[in-house]
Amino acid sequence: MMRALAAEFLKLKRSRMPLWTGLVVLVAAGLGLAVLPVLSDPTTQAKLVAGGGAFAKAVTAGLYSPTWANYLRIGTQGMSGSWGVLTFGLVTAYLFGRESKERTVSAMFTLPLRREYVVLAKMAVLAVWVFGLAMLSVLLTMGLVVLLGVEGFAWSHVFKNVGDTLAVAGLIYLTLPFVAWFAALGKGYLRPMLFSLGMMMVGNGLVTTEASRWFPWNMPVHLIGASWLPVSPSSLLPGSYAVAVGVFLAGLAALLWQADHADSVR
Amino acid sequence: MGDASAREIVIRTEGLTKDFGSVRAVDDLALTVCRGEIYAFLGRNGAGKTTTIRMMLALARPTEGFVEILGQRMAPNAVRAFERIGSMVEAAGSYGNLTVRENLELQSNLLGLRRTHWVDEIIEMCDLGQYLDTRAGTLSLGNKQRLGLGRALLHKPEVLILDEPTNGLDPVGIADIRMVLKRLATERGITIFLSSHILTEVQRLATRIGIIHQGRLLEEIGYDELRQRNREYLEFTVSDTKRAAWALEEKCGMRDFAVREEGTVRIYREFERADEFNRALVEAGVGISSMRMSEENLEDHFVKLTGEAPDDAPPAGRRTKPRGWRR
Repeated sequence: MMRALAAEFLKLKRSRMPLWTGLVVLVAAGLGLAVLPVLSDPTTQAKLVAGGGAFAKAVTAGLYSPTWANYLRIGTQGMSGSWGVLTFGLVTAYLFGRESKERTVSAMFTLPLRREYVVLAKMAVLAVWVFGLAMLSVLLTMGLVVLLGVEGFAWSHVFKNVGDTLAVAGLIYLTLPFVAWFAALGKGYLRPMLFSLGMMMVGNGLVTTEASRWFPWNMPVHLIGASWLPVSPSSLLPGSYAVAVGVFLAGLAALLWQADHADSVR
Repeated sequence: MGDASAREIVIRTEGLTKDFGSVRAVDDLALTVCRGEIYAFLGRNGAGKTTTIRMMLALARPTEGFVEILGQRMAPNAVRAFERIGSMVEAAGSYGNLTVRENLELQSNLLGLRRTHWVDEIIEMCDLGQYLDTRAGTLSLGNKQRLGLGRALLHKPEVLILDEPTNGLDPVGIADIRMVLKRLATERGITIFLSSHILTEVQRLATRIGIIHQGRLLEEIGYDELRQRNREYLEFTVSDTKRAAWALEEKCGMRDFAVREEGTVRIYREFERADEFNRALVEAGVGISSMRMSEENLEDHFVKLTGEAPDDAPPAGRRTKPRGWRR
């Protein structure tokens, strides 16, 4: 197992993909934060209140005020609702689809090494990558907030946000074995990315329904809440976590089965 | 095949069959490879060579039948077997964004090996020294093949399974790889199973050849038999082979000939004495129904077996060695 793990990290060492995903996080964090100065404008807020609905409630609750807590939360909300699912899906597709795409999987599976170890090593690298990107998003958001000259910094905001971000990333991570399975099945990047996109779109369609809290791809949104949707934070049920863990285990089982039963692996 | 029963069988397939939907890619394949052999699996593109190799390496699941290597049934996670097998399938399977050195390191890590003199020897043997710091993705196909071979050799395997190892190599590169493989077989006793569609290559390298066509193993030929087949000969079809043999020996002093079962006698030298042989046979009362000069090489044999020219054969109009009478 350790050999497989060391090999996976060595492969990553020379890859440019971590850099590209870091840039995606930078852009996503920047875009997310660019929304708040617009929303915090008094004229805009007056229009939003007049319009009623979720936006009006958010304005009334002070969620669009330019504070450290709000900026950090919006950063995490962006990850929970859109770029997290897609970017982490891309990372998963890369880790699990690349071996087929570059035709290295045959060499990998003819080594005196159990195939499960290869899969588990990749899952471990994926965890490091996903949580690394999540922490990077916190750091980048903080940096951008400092650049914007927002006052009222407190470590408590940062610690809370780090906790929230890790929890959101964790919930997304639990859905990734299925993405990996699609990568292994599809022998490339297209199918897993379509699957991630599809799940995100299904999630968007479900978000205002009761079923949303049971849909693993929407659980991050229910954990952190959404300032522009009628989704309050911490609205997950204990059973939701059981479903998320179940999806993780089912995905992992499918992935391990696929590794052992793959036919004509490239 | 009789030879195989006396020596240790290293690779054995039995009833090996693979269907892709309604297409039968490999059909009831039974072959054996003995220790120390260089077994060439010869066939046209699409004949079923790569599918067979994939089944051997548990990369594809047989529809029927099985593969045994070093006494172990091949299946995913046959870790003990893979400890003794080195392989290279198709495009050699190296990581394009890593350098040659890193690819070898990666393989060593995965195999749990420390850097030893053997790694240096492999680098030299596969002529990779000048490319150590070059990214594998930028290497020519030939050099990728060398790297793939190098990776396959790192754990000193007893069996080497190679899919088209000379693919993409220039003639010098092909000769180099041939030399390396011969060296590995003779000096280290490594059993080599390789697939190829290049007849000339196979002819120079293999100790045994298996010819596959449309998924079926048509024939296995030993090196000696092949060499015999490659010799030019003057063939008489005669009424009495015993009497013909006597005449050739006693009247012409000819010893290098063979009596064939089907009423033919083949003479392997001194073809300029064809008239003299003819006369001697007639004088001995042997009826001659035909006399022909022939040279059958592997290509001819391949065509005879499969009814098709091999992939690397020149077009029919450019054949350099016409069959039948040449002198």
